[in-house]
Amino acid sequence: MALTDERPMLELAAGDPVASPPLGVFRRPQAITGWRSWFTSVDHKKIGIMYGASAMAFFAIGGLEALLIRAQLAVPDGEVLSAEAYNQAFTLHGTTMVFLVIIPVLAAFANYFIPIMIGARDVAFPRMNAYSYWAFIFGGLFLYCSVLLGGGPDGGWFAYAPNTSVTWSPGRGMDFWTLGLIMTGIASTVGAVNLIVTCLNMRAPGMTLLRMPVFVWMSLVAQFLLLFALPVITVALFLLMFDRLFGANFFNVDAGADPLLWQHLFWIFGHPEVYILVLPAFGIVSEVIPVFARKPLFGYYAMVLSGIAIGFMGWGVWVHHMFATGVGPVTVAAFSLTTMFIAVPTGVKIFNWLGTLWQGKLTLDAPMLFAIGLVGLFTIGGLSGVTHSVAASDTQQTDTYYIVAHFHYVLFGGSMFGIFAGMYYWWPKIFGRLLSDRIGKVHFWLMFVGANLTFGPMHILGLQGMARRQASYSSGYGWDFWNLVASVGSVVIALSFLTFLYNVWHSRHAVTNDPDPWDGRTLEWAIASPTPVQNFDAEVTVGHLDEWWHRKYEEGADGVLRRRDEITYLTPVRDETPTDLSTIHLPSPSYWPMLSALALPIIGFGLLYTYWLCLVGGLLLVGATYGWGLEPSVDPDAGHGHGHDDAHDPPAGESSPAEADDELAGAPR
Amino acid sequence: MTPPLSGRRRWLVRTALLAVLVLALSACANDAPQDTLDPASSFAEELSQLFTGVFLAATAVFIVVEGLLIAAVLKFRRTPGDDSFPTQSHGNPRTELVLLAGPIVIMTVVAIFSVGTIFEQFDVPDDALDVTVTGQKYWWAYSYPEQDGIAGGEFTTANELHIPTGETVALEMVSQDVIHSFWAPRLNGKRDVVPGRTTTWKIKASEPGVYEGQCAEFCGTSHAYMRLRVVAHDRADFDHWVAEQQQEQSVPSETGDPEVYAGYQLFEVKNCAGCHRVDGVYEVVEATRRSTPTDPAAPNLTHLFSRTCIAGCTISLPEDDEPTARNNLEAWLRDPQSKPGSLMVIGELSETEIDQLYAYLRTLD
Repeated sequence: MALTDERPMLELAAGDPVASPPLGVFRRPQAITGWRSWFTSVDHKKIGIMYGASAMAFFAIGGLEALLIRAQLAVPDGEVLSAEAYNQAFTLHGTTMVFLVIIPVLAAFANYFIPIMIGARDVAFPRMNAYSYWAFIFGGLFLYCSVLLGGGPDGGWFAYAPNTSVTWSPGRGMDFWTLGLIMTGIASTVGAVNLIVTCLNMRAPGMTLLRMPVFVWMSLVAQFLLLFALPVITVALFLLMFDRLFGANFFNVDAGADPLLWQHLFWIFGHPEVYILVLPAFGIVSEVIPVFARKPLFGYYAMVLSGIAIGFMGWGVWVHHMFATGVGPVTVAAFSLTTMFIAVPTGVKIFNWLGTLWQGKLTLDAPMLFAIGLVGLFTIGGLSGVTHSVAASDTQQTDTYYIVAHFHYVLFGGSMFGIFAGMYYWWPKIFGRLLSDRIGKVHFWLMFVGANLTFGPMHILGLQGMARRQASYSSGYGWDFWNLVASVGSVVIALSFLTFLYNVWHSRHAVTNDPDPWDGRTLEWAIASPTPVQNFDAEVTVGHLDEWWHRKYEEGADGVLRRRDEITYLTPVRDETPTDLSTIHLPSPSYWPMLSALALPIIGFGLLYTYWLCLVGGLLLVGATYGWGLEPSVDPDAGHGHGHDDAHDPPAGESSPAEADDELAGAPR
Repeated sequence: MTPPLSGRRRWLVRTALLAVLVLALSACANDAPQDTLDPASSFAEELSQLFTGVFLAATAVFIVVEGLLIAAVLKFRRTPGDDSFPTQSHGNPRTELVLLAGPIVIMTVVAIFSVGTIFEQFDVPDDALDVTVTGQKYWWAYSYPEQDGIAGGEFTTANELHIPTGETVALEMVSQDVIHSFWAPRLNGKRDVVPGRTTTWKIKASEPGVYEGQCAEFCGTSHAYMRLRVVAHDRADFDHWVAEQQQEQSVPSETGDPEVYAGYQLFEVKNCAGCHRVDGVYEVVEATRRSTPTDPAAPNLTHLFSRTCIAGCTISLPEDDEPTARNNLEAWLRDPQSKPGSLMVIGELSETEIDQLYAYLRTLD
C-alpha cells in the first residue's frame, strides 16, 4: 500500500451500504465536469490548471505594478506615484512575482505533468493537493486585501527589520503581507510533501529514479528545497507577526534584538528560493530542447547531478545577500567562495544545453525559441552573478540597479522564459488546442527585445551608482537616458504578454486532437490531448529514459532510426472511443480541502480586526479537518458501480493483480 | 530558412550590437557623479579594477557561450521536410569533464585574485581620522571627536561629511532607527548602518572635491531622499574648516538686527530648539525621539550656512547664490513634507515669521 491518504481502517467493508460521511453537511460532490466541479476537484490536472490560471492573473497584476514603477522612473522627478505608493508598488511587485506567480505557475506544471511523466494516475494525496491550491489562492487574495483595506505592504519583499515594525510601518499592509505569506507557505509546504511522495512512491513499474524526465527531477529538487526552506521563512514570518500584533520584541533593537537575525532567516530561505524558482524552469527547457533538436539530452546524468548539487550548494550561499552588513571578513570570504563555486554546476547545465543543440536538427517553433531565450538570457544573469560573488567589489554593486538587472535576467530571462516555453510546449496537451506558432514567435521576439531593453540598461544604471528602491531620482546623475530606455522596454514586455493573451484567445478555435504534435519523448505525449481524466488506461511499464520516444522509434538493422510501424498510445486518441470511466478507479471530489483552506483567511482577518473571527475560523478549520479525516478518499457512492471491490478491479491491460488494491492504478514502486 | 534571410538576420544582429555599444559608450561619457567606475580614491580604484577584471572574464565567457548558442541556431536548423535524425548522442563523459573543468578553473582564478581584497577592505588603519556617523530617517549626522588630527573640542554636523584629502577616514557608524547604508560610490563601496551595532567603514579622497552619495539600504518612505555629500579639502583647508565648526554661535543681541532677534526668539517659541541644537545658543534638546547631545534628534544647526545642502542633501543651499538659498530654505520652512516622509514637524508660520527665521538661520555661518 502506498502512502496514500486513504487509511485501511477507515475503509468500509466491501459492499456495505454507505451513509454520507459523519460530518458532511452537504452531499458529497460527485461531478467531474461543469463549473462547480472546479471547487471540489481533486484531479491533479484541474488543480494544475487552476494554479496556472491564478498565477497568470497575478502575473498581470505584478506586471501592472512593474509598469507603475517604470512609469514613475521613466523621467527624473517622476510624479506618477507618491513615495508611499512607490514603496508599496515595489513591495507588491516583488512579493507577487516570487510568491504568487513563479512558485505557483511552476507548481501548476509540476502538478499537471509529474504524475503523467512518471506514469501515475494522480498525485499521492489528491485532497491535500486541492488544499494546497486553495490555501495558495486564499493567501494571495488575503495579501491583496491590504490594498483595499488601508494600503499595501511597504517594507519591501525582503521586509528588513526593524523597518517593518509597527513603529515604522504602522498600517495594516505588513500584517496582511506576513499572514498572507504564511498561508501561501502552508500551501507550498503541503504541495512539496505531496509531490515528493508522488515522485518517490507513485512511479510506474520500471520508471526508476534515473529514468525520470529532467523536468520531474528538477521539480523534485525544488520541492525538497521548498520543504526545508519554507519552515525557515515561516518561523521568521511568525516572529514578525508576533512582534507586530503582540509586541513580542523579536526584532526590537531597544529590547536587545539584533535586526540581522531577520536577514539571516530571510536569506536562508531566500537563496534556496532562487533555485526553487529557476530549477523547474531549467527542467522545462531540458524537456523542450531535445524534442526540438531531435536528439536526446546531452549528459542526462550530469544534468540531474548538477541540479542536485545546486540544491545542496544553494544552502551555503545566503550571506552573499549580506556582504555589506558588516559581518566579519572570514564570513564574507567563506560565502564569497561558495557563491563562486555554485557557478560550476550551473555552468554544467548551460554547456549541456549547448551540447544538446549542437549537431541537432533544430525546429525553431515557439517553445524552442523560449527555451533558447532562457539559455541566452540566463547566461547573462549567471555571469553577472559571478561578478557579484567577488565580495569586495560587490560592495559597489549590491543594492544598486546592477543587481536588479542580475536577478531579472535570472528570474525573467530564466524562470519566465522557461515558463512560457512550457506554456507553448504543453498547451495542446493541457487544453487540446494549439497556440499559434506565428503569434507565439511575435510574443517571443517582443518579450526577448523587451527583456533586454528593460533589464540590460539596469546594469549601466547600477554601475553609474543608481541605488535600487528609490522612489525618484534627480537629473544630473547620468541616469535619465537609460531609465527611459528601461521604461520603454517594460512597455514592450507588457505588449508581449498581451500578445500571449491574444494567442490564448485566438487558440479557442485551433482545436487539435493530435496526441503528439511535437514528436515528444516523454509519457505525456503517449496519451490523448487533452489529457483524459484517468491519464492512462492501464499501468505503464517503463523500460527506458525517454520511454515514449523508444516506443516510437527503433534502430533498423542498418543502424538507421525509423519509426515503428505500429505505435500504441496509452489511451484512446483522436476519434477513438473514449475509455469507459466506470471501470477506472479515481479519487473522488471533496469540498473539505477548500473549506479547511477557507479557514485560514478568516483566522487572518480575526487576528487583525476581531479575535471572534479567529474562533469562527478555528471552528471551521477543526470541523473541516474532522470532516476530511472521516471522509473516505474514494466515495463509495460514486458513479462507477456499487461495490467497493468493483472499483478495485484491475484495469485491463498491463497491470498485475498485485497492484489492483492500490488506490490508484499508477502503482507505487 | 533560406540563406539570404539568415544573412539578413546576421546583419541585423551586428547592427544591433554596434548600436548598443555606441549607446553604452556615449552613456559612460555622461556626467555621472556616482559612477562606481570613476573612482576618486585608492579604495574605490581597487574595487573598480577588481570588477572590471571579473567583468572582462565574464564577457569572454559570455562571448563564447552566446557565440556557440547563435552558431548552433544558425548552423543546425532543420530544413523543412527533413525528417531524418541527427546522431543520437547522449553526451560524452570526456567532453563533460573538460566542460566542468572550465568553470572550476575560471572561478579558482577569480577566487585567488579576489579573496585577499575582502580582508583588505575590512582592515581599517589605527591612525585613520575617526568620524562617528549616525544614520537616521532620513539624514546623516557626523561627529568629530577630539583626536590627533583634530585639535580642540568635539563637534557635530549633518549631511555633508568633510574630510582631509589623501587621509584614510574611519567611519564608526550607528543607526538611531532602522538599517541604513553609507555609500559614496567614488570613494568606496557601501557598508550598512545597523541599529544596535557599530559598523566600521573607511573612505578616502585622492583629490579635493565634492563627492555625491546616498543611503543605499531601503529605510522607509523617504529612502530616495536620504542623500549625502562628502567634501574633501586639502589638510590646511580642512583644519580651517574644523576650527570654524568648533566655534560656538553667539546669542543675537537685542539691539542688533530686529529681524534676526525676532527669528532667534521664534526658534524657541516655535519649538525648533526642541529638536535642533545650536551650539552656544540652544544646547538643551528636549528629546522627542531617542537623542543624546552628540546624536541629536534633528540636525545640529551650528554653522548651518557653512553647508551646501539640507534635508538629507536633497535641498541645496548654494554658497554663491543667496536668493536661491533663501528660496529653498524658506520653501522648506513652509512645508517640510515637501520631502515625502520627512519627520520634521513645524507649525504653520506666517511669511513674516519665515523671513525672521531665515534671517536668524542666515547668521549661523
